[in-house]
Amino acid sequence: MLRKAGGAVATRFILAILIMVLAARQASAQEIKPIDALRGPLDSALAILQDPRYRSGSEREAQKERLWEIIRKVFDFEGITMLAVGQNWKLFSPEQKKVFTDVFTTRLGNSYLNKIQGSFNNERVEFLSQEVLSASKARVKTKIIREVDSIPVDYSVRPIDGAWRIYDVVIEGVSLVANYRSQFNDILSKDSPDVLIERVRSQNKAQEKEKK
Amino acid sequence: MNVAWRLGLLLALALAPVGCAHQKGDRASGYAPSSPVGVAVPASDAPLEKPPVAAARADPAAADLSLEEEFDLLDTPMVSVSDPLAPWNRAMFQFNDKLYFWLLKPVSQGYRAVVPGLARSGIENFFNNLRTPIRFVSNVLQLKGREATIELGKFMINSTWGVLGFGNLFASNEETTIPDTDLGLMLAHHGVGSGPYVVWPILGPYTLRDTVGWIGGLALDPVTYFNSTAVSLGSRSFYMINYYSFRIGDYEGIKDASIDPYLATRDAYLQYRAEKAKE
Repeated sequence: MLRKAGGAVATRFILAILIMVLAARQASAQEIKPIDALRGPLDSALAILQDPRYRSGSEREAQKERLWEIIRKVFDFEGITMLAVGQNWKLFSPEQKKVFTDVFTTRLGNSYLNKIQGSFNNERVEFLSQEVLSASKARVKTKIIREVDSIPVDYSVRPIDGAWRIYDVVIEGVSLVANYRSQFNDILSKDSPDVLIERVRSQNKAQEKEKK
Repeated sequence: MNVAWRLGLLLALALAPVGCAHQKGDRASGYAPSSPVGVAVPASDAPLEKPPVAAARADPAAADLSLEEEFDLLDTPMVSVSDPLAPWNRAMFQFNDKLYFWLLKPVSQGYRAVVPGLARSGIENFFNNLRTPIRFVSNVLQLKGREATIELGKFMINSTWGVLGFGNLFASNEETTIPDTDLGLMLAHHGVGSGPYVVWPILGPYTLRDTVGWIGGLALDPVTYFNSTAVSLGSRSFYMINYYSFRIGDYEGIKDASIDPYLATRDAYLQYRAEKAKE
């Protein structure tokens, strides 16, 4: 009897701690404003891009590594993948989900990094505002200032494990997630997830080869 | 003219702090003399380290059912697509792709190498100023009095004090910064649907409605009335080269990031126009 009661108390105790831990995580996400959660990483990414240390070609790889370290922490690539696939996600087996998340993340990371490393031209990022839409959703509005034009870029973020992370990027009204979804919908209406996975994978390979 | 491509060009930059093209007008003169543009320095190689995969995500199975409902995430509703001309469009897309890589890009790069940035931004300003009638009339027909007045005011001041429009005296004036409009958007404003998607050679992505708007715009574009067709065409081509001299790398970015560049461009264009129509 006693033992049983003790067990119940222990269980409750553990539950209480769990709840506290969860609540604390939740709170920490709310304490840091979404706009600040992005400002830090984006600023340090820009600093790395401008750092003269990485000017020489041989340092590009190191630069890429460092950028990737930052990017993977801010972007929720698993969420992005899921959302980009949308309703068709249920056609994917757990293994396919894992593999596709993997190849698609590689693709996003590579094309992003190649783009910013390849044509960085002292663009500036201006943080305009943030809209907290709900406890689980916010939008950070920025503007990229270029040579002769500027481009509004909005980041959709949500808290994951206490940190605001990006699940969509909207450039001049064009949602990245929606754009990929339109491609995936079209491809998956004719082909299986495996075909899509293979297609992305082989494109990744071709791109990596091309860069060499 | 090339709203087309520019729009298309958006995507890649997707994640990027280096976005895409095409805010015209106001921002056009803030040229900061700086380095040669992103003439794609071959970025370095080596695949990214594989990211840790989904393991951390709570319950992938649960996600199945309510992908969107879960956090009600996708804020942008999917745009609907009518593409009965897909085979033609894909062929034209290929054509434009080659045109860009084989002609437009090398020419723009060469042009960029010899013409100073200040001159090029002046030229961009000049053509933007020249197209004021399109924006003015479109605003008037949407009964947007304030915007129409601003367009007219800018035109008068830039054409005189701005020396025929080469200077943009409103470049950094937030108050007079208004969205560009055109006859296609004017039609959208009055409830005209976008109609089928069409890719035109050279011009790039359009919808039927925006094609009609573009043709109407020709009548309002002073360039059309240059003394001969050859001069008009020459001016347009020149503008295009000047335009791309600031935007080399944008299209490459999109293409690089997309799984199917045709579909990516189509959706980007349609999303972009849908968003503009809401402004």
